Amino acid sequence: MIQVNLDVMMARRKKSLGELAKEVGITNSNLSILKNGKAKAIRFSTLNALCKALDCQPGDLLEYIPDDEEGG
Amino acid sequence: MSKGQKTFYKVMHGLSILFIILGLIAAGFFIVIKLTNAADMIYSLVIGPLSITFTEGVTQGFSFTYLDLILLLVYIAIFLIMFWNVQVFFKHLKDEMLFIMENARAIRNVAFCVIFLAFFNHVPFYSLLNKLLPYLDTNQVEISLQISFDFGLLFTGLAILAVYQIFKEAVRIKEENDLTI
Repeated sequence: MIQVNLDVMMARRKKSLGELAKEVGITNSNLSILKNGKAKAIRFSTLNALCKALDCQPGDLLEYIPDDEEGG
Repeated sequence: MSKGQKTFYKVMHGLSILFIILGLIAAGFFIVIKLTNAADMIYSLVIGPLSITFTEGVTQGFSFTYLDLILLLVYIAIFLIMFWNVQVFFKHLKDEMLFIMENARAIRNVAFCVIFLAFFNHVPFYSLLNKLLPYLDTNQVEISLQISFDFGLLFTGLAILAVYQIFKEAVRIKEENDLTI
């Protein structure tokens, strides 16, 4: 599965949810869905805006964790 | 949503509620007729395009059993369930809630009701007709009853079931789209 490490990057950059949402141009609730790992997909444009706002790489925000059933 | 669409949904919602009320009145009518033993009030029969009217007083002494009443009530109940689901569907459409699981379920329930009616459509009337036939003066013709089922209704029900499957997929895509950030 893909884990979203948005909260880690937000803590490192010391950015609040509202602040980041405003910079990225999405609603607080949508950013919250993304942060809590409830999102099913992320648009490249959103990822681009997040990387720009947090000054990081996509790999800093997304992490692959092998599922149990995949033998990981 | 355009104004015309909204008006259409409102009209359809109103009509479904009207049918529910009519169904309840019909159920009440049959219960009262049974309880007051006033079945000889039935002096007109409509079977598809054929309408038979008895001369008043001819059906004196005619009555139907509790089994007939139960079958009639089951028949009306299926109609009530069907129109209840139709009104749920149009109420959601009216409120601009289109691709939700409740709507998919309403479509599925309507499909089940239609399929059930395809087999059950004539059942409540067999024994009623059987009891009324002796009151007909049939010197020249021979009238008989036979078990049949409504192929048109069965096909309609299966088609609605297919719409349910498609609608379910639409709900899934809508949810995925809503959760794409």
